[in-house]
Amino acid sequence: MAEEMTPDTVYITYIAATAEDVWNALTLEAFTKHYFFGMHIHSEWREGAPWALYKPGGECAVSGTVLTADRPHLLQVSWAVEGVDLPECIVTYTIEPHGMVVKLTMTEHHPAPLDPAWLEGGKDGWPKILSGLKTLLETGQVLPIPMPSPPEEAAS
Amino acid sequence: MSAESDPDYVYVIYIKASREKVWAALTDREERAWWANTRHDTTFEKNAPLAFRRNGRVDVRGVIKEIDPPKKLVYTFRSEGPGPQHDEGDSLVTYDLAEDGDATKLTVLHTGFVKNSNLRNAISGGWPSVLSSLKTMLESGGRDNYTFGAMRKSA
Repeated sequence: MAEEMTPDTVYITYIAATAEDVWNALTLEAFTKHYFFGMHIHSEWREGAPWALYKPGGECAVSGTVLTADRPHLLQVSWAVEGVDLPECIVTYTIEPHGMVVKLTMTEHHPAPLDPAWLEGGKDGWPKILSGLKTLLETGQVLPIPMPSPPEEAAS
Repeated sequence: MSAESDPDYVYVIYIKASREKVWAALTDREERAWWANTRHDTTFEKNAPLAFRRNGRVDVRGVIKEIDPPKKLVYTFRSEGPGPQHDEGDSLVTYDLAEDGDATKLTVLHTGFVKNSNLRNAISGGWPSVLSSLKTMLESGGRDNYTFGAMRKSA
């Protein structure tokens, strides 16, 4: 199980918001289009349901299956980048109360050793994505950094 | 990285503030809530000693090794007691500040850990909370009333 694997990438951030706010920001396209490479997310967010991230033009960029949806504290999905021959990875978000704020931990697990160049894409992307999520929830504004290409283009 | 040491630690955060403002906050010498009520006791000059003072004691001692405002700061970092991490000797912290759009990309690199380091375990929890607090402080117009760290003083 994913819990027993060593994560390849971990990113922790603390956010002055409720766990419900963070859950909504992770799962609703009204939020993701403002911090996630401009992409729209969609799913019913129940276990076994499909989920996907769509580029602004409507093309699917990432897709997978919801593995755990324990609103608002634990979301785990399989994660397959479209158009590349890579085994899917598992991305887990945990959202924990921490005093007056919440601690968001993102872990990315890969089932098999991966070309470091692919891992670098995630290591570069997650701080941008989750810094943008924090700014959006705390200030209602978009983090003004250039939107990088979606991961599959950046790594090719 | 060798088998005799733990891997380097790196944390990257993007902050909606100018590089000068991020630099000014990181080299501030007042007690600040966002840094878990810590005061940086140093002149921030090359070869100057550095102490992190909090609640009347010193948590960290070091020496400024390199300073290039507003881009780069390097200092040695030795944890003072209590706790098992205090006798692991000097580690090294590097701040790198880069402009990215209208934001600043802040990279904190912490290196020089012993094998099975208690210090690395401690700072892996500490940097995300301190730097999350810094981002919130700067993006909320400089209000220093956010302390996200577990070490916060009860208010």
